[in-house]
Amino acid sequence: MSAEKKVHPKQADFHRKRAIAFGKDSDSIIKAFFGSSATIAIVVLGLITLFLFKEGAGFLKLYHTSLKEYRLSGLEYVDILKEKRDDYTALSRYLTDIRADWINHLKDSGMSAKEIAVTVRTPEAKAFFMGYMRNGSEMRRFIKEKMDVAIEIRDQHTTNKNLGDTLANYTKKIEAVKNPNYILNEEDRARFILLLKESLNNGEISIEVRTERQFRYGELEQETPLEASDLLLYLQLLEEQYNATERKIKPIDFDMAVLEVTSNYDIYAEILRKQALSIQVALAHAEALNFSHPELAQRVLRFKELNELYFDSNDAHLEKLAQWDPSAKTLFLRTLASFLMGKEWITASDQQDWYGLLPLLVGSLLISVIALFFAIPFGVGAAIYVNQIASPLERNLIKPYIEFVSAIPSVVIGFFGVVVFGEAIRLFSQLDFLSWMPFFPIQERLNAFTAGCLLALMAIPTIFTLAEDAINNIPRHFKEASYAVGATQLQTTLRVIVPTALSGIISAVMLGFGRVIGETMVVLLCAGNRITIPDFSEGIGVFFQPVHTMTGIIAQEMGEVVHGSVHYRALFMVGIVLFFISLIINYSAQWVVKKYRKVGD
Amino acid sequence: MNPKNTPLPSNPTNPIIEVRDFNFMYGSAQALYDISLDIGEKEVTALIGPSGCGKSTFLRCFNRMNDLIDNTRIPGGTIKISDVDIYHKDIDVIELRKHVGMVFQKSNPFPKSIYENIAYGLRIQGIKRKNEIDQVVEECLRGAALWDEVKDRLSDSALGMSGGQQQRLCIARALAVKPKIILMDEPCSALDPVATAKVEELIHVLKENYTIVIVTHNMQQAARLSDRTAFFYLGKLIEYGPNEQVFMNPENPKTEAYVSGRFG
Repeated sequence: MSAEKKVHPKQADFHRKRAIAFGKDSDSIIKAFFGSSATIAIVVLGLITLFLFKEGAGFLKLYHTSLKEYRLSGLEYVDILKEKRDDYTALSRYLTDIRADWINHLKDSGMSAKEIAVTVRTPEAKAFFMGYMRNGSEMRRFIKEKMDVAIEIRDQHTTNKNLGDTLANYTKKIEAVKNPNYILNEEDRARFILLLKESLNNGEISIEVRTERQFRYGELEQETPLEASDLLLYLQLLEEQYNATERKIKPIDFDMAVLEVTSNYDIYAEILRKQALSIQVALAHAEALNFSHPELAQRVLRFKELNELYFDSNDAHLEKLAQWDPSAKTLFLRTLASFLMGKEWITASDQQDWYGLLPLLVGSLLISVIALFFAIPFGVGAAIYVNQIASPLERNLIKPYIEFVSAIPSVVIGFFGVVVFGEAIRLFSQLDFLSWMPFFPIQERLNAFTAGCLLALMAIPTIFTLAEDAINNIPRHFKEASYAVGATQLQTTLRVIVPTALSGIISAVMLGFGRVIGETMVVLLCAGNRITIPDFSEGIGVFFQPVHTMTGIIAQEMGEVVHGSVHYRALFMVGIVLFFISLIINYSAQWVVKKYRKVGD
Repeated sequence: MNPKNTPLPSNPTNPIIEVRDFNFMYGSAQALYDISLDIGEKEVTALIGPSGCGKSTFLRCFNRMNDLIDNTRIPGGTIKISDVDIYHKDIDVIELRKHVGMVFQKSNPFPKSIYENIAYGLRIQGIKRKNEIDQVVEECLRGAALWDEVKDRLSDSALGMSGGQQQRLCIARALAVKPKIILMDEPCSALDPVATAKVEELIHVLKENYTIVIVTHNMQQAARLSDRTAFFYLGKLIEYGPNEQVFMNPENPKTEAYVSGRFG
């Protein structure tokens, strides 16, 4: 039976995938393309984050070591001593102010310069003012001596560490050169010549050796090739260097060394006691002075009270010194706290570097508060107006205009702030009729307020655009429903549109906050860059003080730090903190939107 | 439906809305051409016609909802409600909208509680007394046949209700400001048959006290619900009359073609 197989004349079109390249169809090629783009973006972001954490990671360890040495070397003890000195300096300044005001007051009352000079230079006045000022010298000298000792201990320790590193390098080199198969390369030649030259100045080598080396040096200078015999000489030179370096290391016994700082406790107590007596003598002279002005007399009284406090604190101060223990353990937690809650950011100091985040964090937040204070009403208000109230013509005018602001480079805004806005604010604050305001005239033209206002300008487009989107996403039928029961435009906007869009508006504000806290150029140029926690006791005046910010400090100092140093890593830690702040802000913005999204389904 | 099979004059004898030669334009596109008709008080009037014929636009002219759309204008004609020209420049649109309530195609309760949805119309009028609001809320929910279903969860979000309940809530919300006329723009188009039946039942009851103008795509619904029907085509009023006339014995061949389902 001839089973004739039934064959289709032609296979159906769908029997094979349509391939374009590498046996793939267009869909999978497109998928691969976009997929790989997304993957690259994620990998790069991941690497950046990893780098940030890697560089920041070593900070705590290094800073911890640094703080340990701070204690071991006695610098901490010196800082306790300095508290007393600073108190005295503050008191002296207070007295100087009184004196200056006294002279001004005399001037105001119409005295001539000569009369004033006579009045303020009576023996009583001299005994009071000059007598007081003279009392600090002995204390200052004592503290200075102790400080020098502590610094020296610390410096020697640092030097030892560095020399130790050098020794390790020499050891490695010597080991390598000792290998019989070692061949001298160009680098070795250069080093050899250098060592040879240096060894000629070494007074310990004999005349014969010196002559020999001198000869070889001359030869090598003439591009003579190296010979096998040079290897031995090279090794010898390296060992000589090793020994010389080793001799430079003067091991520090912290326990012993620090005694030199803490010694003379009795002398110090005696200095303080004498100082107290001597100050009291000077103060007694104040009785004989007539300040002819109730306020000044009041201040002198206050000054005396402050001095009483100063004397009273002597015992506690001495007790604190006596209690101080160089071998007390420095807790790791304390290192962390001294970064996160440290009130000082002092770098490149000859004593102890402090990396305290607080001044920067407070500065950043202060500026953000100012910026948001202005940006929220303007941004959200403009968004509501443009979306709900404005005519089409106004909308087409305002919207692109506000969005255009975000196209201005931040450096231009910062530049404007430095040249125009800061100066304008200062001139404005100097107007006479505004002098009743408690913080006017302002001292610095570059301050948190200047930076905050300009950042508000930058945050407005962000807040405006996102809030406008949020309002625009409110389905149109809510508005119609409200109108249909007889609501006015204002009622509709305030009672229906804004409450419904609130989650979107809050998220817009948060992202605006993120924009503000991450902005660098404007704050670097306009915030005044003073690394101190602003004085909150000044009330509203706090907004007019110069501050520094987290972003600003990174931009300013990253260029000049030693790669891998504590300072370098501290800046990365600040970066990590910023990273987390931004992360939290963005995350909570998303959370708010998700949590309160009720409509739009 | 009128039990008598005698043809009525095409316009009602007791009109509450009188439209004369009304034209309407979106920008440069004309949506309505010379519409003239009267709508009787406490009657249900249905507006039918294929998509884009202008029936919804026409409906939204009665409470001036079209004012919300940019670039609209009325080149000619008048609409009088209770003998007042509602497009006169001195008209208080807010008061007009309280007088002429509206229910939309898609149920659109506010993202607030059931109670607050009804109370909204009162609150915007500045009414604050709680017992007065309570009373109106109950009245309106009973009026919309919703009270028994929701009385125990008045403070729950209105968005948690079913589609049909939401639509009846929107009707209740419209009732709260005590309108004379209620406009309904395809109120059942998004509802299932059971919910539709409930809303239709409600419209029957509301007819006792309110004048209702309803836009619908559903011819059976128009025939069931309304006293009179107006057929629109391409912005023009083709035929208007009592249901018997429009559905059984249309004068215009286009009307006949549409109601018998040959186009639309």
